[in-house]
Amino acid sequence: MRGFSFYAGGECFAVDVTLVEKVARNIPVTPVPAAPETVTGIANLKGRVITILDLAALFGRGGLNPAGEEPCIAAGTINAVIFKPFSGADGQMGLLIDAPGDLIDIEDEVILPPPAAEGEMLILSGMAEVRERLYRILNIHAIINRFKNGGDAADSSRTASGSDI
Amino acid sequence: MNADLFLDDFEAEARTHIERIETAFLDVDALTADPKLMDGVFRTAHSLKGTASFFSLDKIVAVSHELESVFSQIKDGRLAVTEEIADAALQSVDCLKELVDNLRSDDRVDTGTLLRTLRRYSGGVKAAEKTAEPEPPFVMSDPDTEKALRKAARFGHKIYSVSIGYNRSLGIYYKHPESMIDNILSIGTVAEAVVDGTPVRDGDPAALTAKLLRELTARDTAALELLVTSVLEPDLFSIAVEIDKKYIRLIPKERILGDSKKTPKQAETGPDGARKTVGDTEAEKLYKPAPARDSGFSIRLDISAINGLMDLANEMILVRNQMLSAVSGYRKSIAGLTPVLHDMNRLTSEIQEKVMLTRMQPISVIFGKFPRIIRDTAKALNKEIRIEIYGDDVTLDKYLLDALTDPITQLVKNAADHGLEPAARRAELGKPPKGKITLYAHMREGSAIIEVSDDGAGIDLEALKRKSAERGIASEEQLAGMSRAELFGLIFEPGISTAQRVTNLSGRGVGMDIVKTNIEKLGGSIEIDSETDKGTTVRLKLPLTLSVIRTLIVTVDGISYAVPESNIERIVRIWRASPSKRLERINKSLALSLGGRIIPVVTMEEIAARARGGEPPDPEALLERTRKQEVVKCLVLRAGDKSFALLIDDAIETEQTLVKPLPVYLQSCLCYSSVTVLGNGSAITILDAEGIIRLMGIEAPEQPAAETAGGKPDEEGPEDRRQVILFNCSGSEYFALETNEIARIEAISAADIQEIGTARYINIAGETVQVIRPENYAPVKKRQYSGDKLYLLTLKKSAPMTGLLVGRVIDKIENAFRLDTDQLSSAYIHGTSVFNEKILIFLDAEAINADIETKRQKRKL
Repeated sequence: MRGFSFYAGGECFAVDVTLVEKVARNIPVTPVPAAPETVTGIANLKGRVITILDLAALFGRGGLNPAGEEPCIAAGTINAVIFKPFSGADGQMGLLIDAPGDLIDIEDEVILPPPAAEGEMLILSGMAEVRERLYRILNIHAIINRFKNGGDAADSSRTASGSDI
Repeated sequence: MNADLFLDDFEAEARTHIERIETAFLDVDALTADPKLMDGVFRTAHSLKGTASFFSLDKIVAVSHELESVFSQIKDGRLAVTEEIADAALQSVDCLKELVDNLRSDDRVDTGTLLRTLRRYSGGVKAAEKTAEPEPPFVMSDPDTEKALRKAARFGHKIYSVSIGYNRSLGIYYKHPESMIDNILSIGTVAEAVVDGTPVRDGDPAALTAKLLRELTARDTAALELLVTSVLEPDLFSIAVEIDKKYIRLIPKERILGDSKKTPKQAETGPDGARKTVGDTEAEKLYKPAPARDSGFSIRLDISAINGLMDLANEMILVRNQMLSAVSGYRKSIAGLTPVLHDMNRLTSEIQEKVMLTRMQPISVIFGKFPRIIRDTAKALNKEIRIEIYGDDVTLDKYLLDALTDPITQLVKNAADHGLEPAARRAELGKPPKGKITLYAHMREGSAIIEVSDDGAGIDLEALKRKSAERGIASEEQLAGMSRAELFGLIFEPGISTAQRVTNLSGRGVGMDIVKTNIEKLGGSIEIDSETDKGTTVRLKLPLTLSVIRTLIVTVDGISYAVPESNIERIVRIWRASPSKRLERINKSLALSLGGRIIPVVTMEEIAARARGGEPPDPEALLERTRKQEVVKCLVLRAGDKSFALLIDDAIETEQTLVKPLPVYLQSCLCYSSVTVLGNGSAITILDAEGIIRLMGIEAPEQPAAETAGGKPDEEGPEDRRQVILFNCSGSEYFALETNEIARIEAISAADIQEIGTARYINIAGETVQVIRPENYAPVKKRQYSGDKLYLLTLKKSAPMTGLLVGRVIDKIENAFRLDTDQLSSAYIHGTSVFNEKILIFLDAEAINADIETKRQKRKL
């Protein structure tokens, strides 16, 4: 797999590079107070509205930012890796990152299953060590499906009625 | 001189003429009743002929000449306007449209048959004595078909062109397509078929019939054109296939075996000269979409192309803003920079606006075709039907319009077919013989409402119940417990709707489940209301998702939100010391006491806490915080009969926003309806007032408390409780205008007002608003405004939009004013009233609107 790596919350992650649309640096994000914790806010990318998700919150660890401090986003901008809109216009999302990394080649044989202990299996497709660094490989589809199936939704009937437009 | 230049003008003019003729012949009764109308139509045909001859457009001249002769016969009373005449006139209209569409290449359009038909009438022959016998149209543009036909012709087979209007639900030509095809196959072979203008072809006859069967099974009605080869003689053929002879034409062998180069061209021209492959039979016109009004130079675009353009336009605005701020320090040092920036600013905004507008189209693009459809349907059903259309200027997103065409057509069809009773039955009931179908579109609370009603038999609830029980859709007990609305909802059950002719159910329901599915796919809802023997109304409610709405941008805790204007009742500023408006704590929440009304107050903080399932903030702390502020602003929002006040930091501006679907990640929040990208490039959410009401559990207010707020009970004289906006114009006089007359209050700059002719205009968010001075309508002095910052009160019920130019907006007050009509006299004021020791002049918006309209008409002349 050709992977794209980035840093978030002091950890290294990798995703399938073919799913990535672009790395957006210093883009303004509007917070959405009523949204689940996993949502950092929404951003405008070429006129499209993209939801920015917070990986650490997805892992159930609270915001990436140290506790007590309001997320830096109110002040303005963030870095994010934006994924292609493969799940429809209302499903395009990006992940909040500290910094982008590199393109890396990950051989299939070095990919290990995700650690069972962490509740991360749902959104991790595996772990891999490349050049002495451990990458968590994210399953982007699983992240999106978590929302589509109402995993984070309090009211799933609404999800069903509004998502087709 | 280049004649081409004038040709465009001619085209526009010709279209108006043609439309006039079409409109006239769509209402034959009116035409017969009013000789003036016929005179007008006659002159129209004459002028069309005149201008066309100037351009040597011989075919248009020929057709309009014959039309003119026919009209002259009618005008002189030698010919009655029968349905046949109307048909011929409408055929000519279609042909003329076709000719105008192809002004520069009209040789493809054949007018021969039409002219022959018209000549029959212009010769004064009574219409009923003869019927038109158009030449058989047929299609053999495909090489495979041609080969098959040639072969058949050489073997002595006869080739028949069969054109019928297939209508399953009416049982016109077989209820089951398979039996028709079986019949044909028993005596011959289908060489080619055209269903609704789409050819169905296949080299292999068996595969072709299979395809055709599939096509027909999928439809309820179709204009069907078949080329059939058979050894039978025409009479026998007709009997064998059980299709009336007048729909069958024998195609001469020579045309098949003759010059093959010539055939495709002939094939393309229909009997009425239209470039259609399908003959002009009764049913071909049934449900055929009428040609677009201005199909002249239009192109079809995929909606995604426009969406892409729109996204790019928005991005361009963002980049522009970034550049403006980047170069703002150099404006002085670089000569000529400022005007360039100014132009760029304007251009980018205009592009964005224009692109946005490309998606919006009036609903008349759907409604407009119904008069013709109804006319043709009425003939096919042998009923008398008239159609009334209201609100066809409501504009909707193209996407919605496209998706709505079929459901609405289906509903109208149902109303005509099943809703309206035959004339005899109507007479028994004492109803007018002519059934009425009404189409009505309007906007309500941010939704588009489209109603299709008829004054027909209505839905028999008892029959519906019986049928539902039989079909096992609901048990007897369930049915007994259902409300009327729920019972009507049963119509959408597939089991009911596919049933052919439910007894006494007026058969309504053909395809109703499909209509419902389509409407729900658009995020809309559908409801039915019906009364036995009074009629049925089907109401579609559609959200404006993916369209443009006017919103107010507000900030709360530093975050911007858009609020649809349709939800905004008012903006309230609460000063610390104000007695009539104040925040109070009631139990665990805050409420706004506003002139005797108690409105629940919510904050974004509370909404967020509730949406995330967290602890709501302490109301005491909030109250404490608001007490520290000099002024607290809140937005009173309403959805249905419930309202609430949302505390805001500020209201920024109103903006035309493009509504985008709510990301799936936010759908659990309930308080957002959608998202949008602002002109400054930020992505923000659009608040959903209804969602917040549901989320926060806000109840409808009890009957307003009896205590009166501002006014003291008056003891004498006529009085009216009015809510008015108080304002000054250029002088010190106080004017009052009722709030329900005012659409919006806009802050404007005097410099933006442009003078065109004798009137002044201003552009507000893409809309041109005529600016008028209230001073002209009241006995007060008009002065020059010194400052640049002015206000415009745009008037409701003014079209085009009109606004009153105002120097200062003072307040909004509600009071029982006693109007004095003696002190000041003007046709444009209701009267005067004293309030707080000031004299208020009450303007009469209706009279002012009327005056402006008259002046506008005068200017046109």
